[in-house]
Amino acid sequence: MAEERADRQGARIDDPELFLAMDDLELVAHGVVEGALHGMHRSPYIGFSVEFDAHREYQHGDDLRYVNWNLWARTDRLYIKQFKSDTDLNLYILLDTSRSMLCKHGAYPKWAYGARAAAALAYLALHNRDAAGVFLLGERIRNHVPPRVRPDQFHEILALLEDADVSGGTSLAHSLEETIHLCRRRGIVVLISDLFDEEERVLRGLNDLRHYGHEVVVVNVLDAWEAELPPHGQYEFHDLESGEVLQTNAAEVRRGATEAVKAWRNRLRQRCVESGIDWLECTTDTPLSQFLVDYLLRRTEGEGI
Amino acid sequence: MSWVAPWFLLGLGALAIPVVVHLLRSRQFERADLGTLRFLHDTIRETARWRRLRDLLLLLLRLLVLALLVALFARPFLAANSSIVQADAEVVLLLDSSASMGGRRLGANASSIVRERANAFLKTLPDDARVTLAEFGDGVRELRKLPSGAMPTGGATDYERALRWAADRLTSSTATRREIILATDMQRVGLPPAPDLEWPTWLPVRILEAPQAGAFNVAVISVKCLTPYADKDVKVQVIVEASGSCPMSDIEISLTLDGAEPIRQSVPLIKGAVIFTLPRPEGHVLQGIVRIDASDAWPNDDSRPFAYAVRRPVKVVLVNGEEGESAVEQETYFLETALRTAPGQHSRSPYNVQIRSRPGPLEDVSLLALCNVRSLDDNETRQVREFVAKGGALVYFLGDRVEEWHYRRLREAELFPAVLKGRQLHLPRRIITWEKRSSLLGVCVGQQGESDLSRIVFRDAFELEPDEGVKVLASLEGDVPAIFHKQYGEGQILVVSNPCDREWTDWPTETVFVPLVRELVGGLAKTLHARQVVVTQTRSIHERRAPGIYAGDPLEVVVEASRESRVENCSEADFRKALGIGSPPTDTAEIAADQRPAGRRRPNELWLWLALALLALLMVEHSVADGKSA
Repeated sequence: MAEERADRQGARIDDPELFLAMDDLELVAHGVVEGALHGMHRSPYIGFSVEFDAHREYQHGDDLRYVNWNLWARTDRLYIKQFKSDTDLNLYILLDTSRSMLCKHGAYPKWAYGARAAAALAYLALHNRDAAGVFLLGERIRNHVPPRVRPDQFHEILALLEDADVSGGTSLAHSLEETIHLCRRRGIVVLISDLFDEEERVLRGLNDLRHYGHEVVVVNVLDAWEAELPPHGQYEFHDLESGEVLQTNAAEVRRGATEAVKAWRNRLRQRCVESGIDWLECTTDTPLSQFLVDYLLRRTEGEGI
Repeated sequence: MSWVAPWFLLGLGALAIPVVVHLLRSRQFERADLGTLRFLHDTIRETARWRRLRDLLLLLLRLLVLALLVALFARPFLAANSSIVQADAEVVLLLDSSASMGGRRLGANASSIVRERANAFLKTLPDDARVTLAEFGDGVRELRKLPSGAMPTGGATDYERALRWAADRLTSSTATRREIILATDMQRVGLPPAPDLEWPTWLPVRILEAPQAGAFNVAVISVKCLTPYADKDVKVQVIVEASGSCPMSDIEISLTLDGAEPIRQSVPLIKGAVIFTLPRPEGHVLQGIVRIDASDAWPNDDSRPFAYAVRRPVKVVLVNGEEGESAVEQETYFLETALRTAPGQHSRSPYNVQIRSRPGPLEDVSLLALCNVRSLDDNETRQVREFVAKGGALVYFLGDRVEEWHYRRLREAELFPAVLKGRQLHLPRRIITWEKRSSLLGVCVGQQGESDLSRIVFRDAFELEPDEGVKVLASLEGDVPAIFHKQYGEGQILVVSNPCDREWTDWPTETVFVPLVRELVGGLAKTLHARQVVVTQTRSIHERRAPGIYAGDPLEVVVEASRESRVENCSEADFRKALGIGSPPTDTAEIAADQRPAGRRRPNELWLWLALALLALLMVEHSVADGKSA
């Protein structure tokens, strides 16, 4: 079975990174999700509901616990038992669209990386017949598509992402306050942001979401240079939001800046974990499929997406 | 410091390069966008001061590395006199200032004449010639300039030391012409028995000869007190010596004590020595001056001051514990003989020895020795106890008459610091350990001859257990104490666990016996290691005071070096031969090209140290720079 899977992967053209290179978010989402799922031993699609719905043919990666062995004995084919979803899970994807997300020292800016991650997550939820919606955060909520399970929901989300205006400053705390009023039904809130805002206010907003019964997942996306400066070179660094300029030698400040970022991330992670908030961190260098696999593995250890 | 290849120092101009680069460096910055600069601000704020300091340190280190590199190529070395610039000729002028140069001829002394000749020679040297001036006698002292007046003279002559000093200076010179000028009277007595120098062929010695002041010299070369311990009169020996072709056969010697009329004696010069018997001085010091009227050209050695400490003999009482039939069989015979012995015909023992059968009165006594004495009664014990407490020395020589119970009274009075356990008979034993650093056994420092205590064999021995606080100075085989010492009050107690005769041992016949006994008694009676009240200094290159007596504590007597009075000179050929310094230089003496030291490695070059410093600097620079890029 492993050899068969390897052969199929080798023959595939829907490599997740290949899709990432394309700007079509639908293809990206599809490619990333399918590619990531093919890499997993257990399909996360199964086990969400308890009421039997139908059979479908076994796909590579399906959990053998759900194989109908009686049917296999009669027909000599593997079928998977599918269950009707009995959850009304809502996935709220909050995407930071401040100017700081335009930082790009790799193939993509943080914004693009976040948008692809959002599309992939939405695709995953909708594929599972869960409601998914996207909120674009700036100094306040700029635009949003509320969570729904309509057939064209995914395309609405993609349209929202493709038309997003990435500019201005961030007031995550303010945006999160507004989000609370729009996320009335309990669900999973995934915040994709660089979190370059006042720590206390952001954490207060995330805690408020927790208090309203949401599960909260924070995805901290940083540009590769934000996580670690290049080893050499004279640079004039521009702050994308404030416009501030700083000239310095990268070699002189590299170690200190890297340690400061690590300390800041560790501090935020610690505070999130203490508040029951899931924390994921990545840079734009992290393969999106890898990020998605990490996310799904984390989720399948709990409930739903 | 001088340089082998100074033209490389032009490379120091390269030091400007890093500075110019630093100042003119165009700062090209590449634009880079970041989501926030807050982390950079934090880092820069924390490290700004250190980074400025480190940049400065790096610049300095790199400049220093460059400078060291240049210096390394220029090959610095330590010249003998770094303050003198390099020249084509370098000479060392050595002026003889020994006592013999004080001889007078036609109103001028030899040192003045030779100084004038040296001055004339120096004027013939090129203007840029390097000249090092020095006076020499028994040592060498560098002079800043040629003395204008009469040069002080005195002390002995050591030609070899002076020439070696000058050769060392010139070995490190880079001059093409190097030369030593020796201005001297070529006194024969200053020459070594055989030349100890292997003289370098490239270093010529020119001799500026001082004229002979006279044909003969008669000098007082020694005044010696033969009786430093005297009750009544004191004997002083005076030695005079004639050198050269002396026309006199006798000479009158005049000895004058402080505040007294001169005492005169005439002595044949061929004999040379005379003894003056003088009254014992009122104080402790006998001082005065001895003069002769020789009418020679060297007046400095016609008189000689002297001062000696004269003490009364130390009173020592030896108590004979067993009367023998003959003098040799007395318990005190060998001890008395050792103490009465005086080294010379006219000298006297420092001890006034009295033999008694009982201790008796102890006024003015410094040391009381109980030789095989059985016991003391109560009165004697009390008397001895007072004697020791006030600073007297008590010595026991045990023997066959002594039993444990005899010394109970003395033990109760704390005058015998050991428990007698009995005798061990017919057990030959040797002294195997002794305190070589003890002042009482100072003579027994070696393991051979007179200083070897282990030569003494004891047939019998007392078994003793010394009290606590007692210092054992010597032990027999089996760790049996043989000699031990204790301080009591202001006095001292010494126990020798054997008799001082030949009954238990033959030690009086050993060569070590007399020095050992005199050392023990001398140490206890304080005749040895007494405080010095007179110090005699011989004139030298470092002692320029005129002969005489200088008040102080101790009193100082400055005398002329005796052997300088032998004023025979030798010819230049003999002089050169005796020192092995080769032929005189020609006026156009040049060093052959293949013998020039320039280009050859010098022994005092500093390149190795520079290379090590450079290596260390590079490591530091690398470390600092590495810390910058990390």
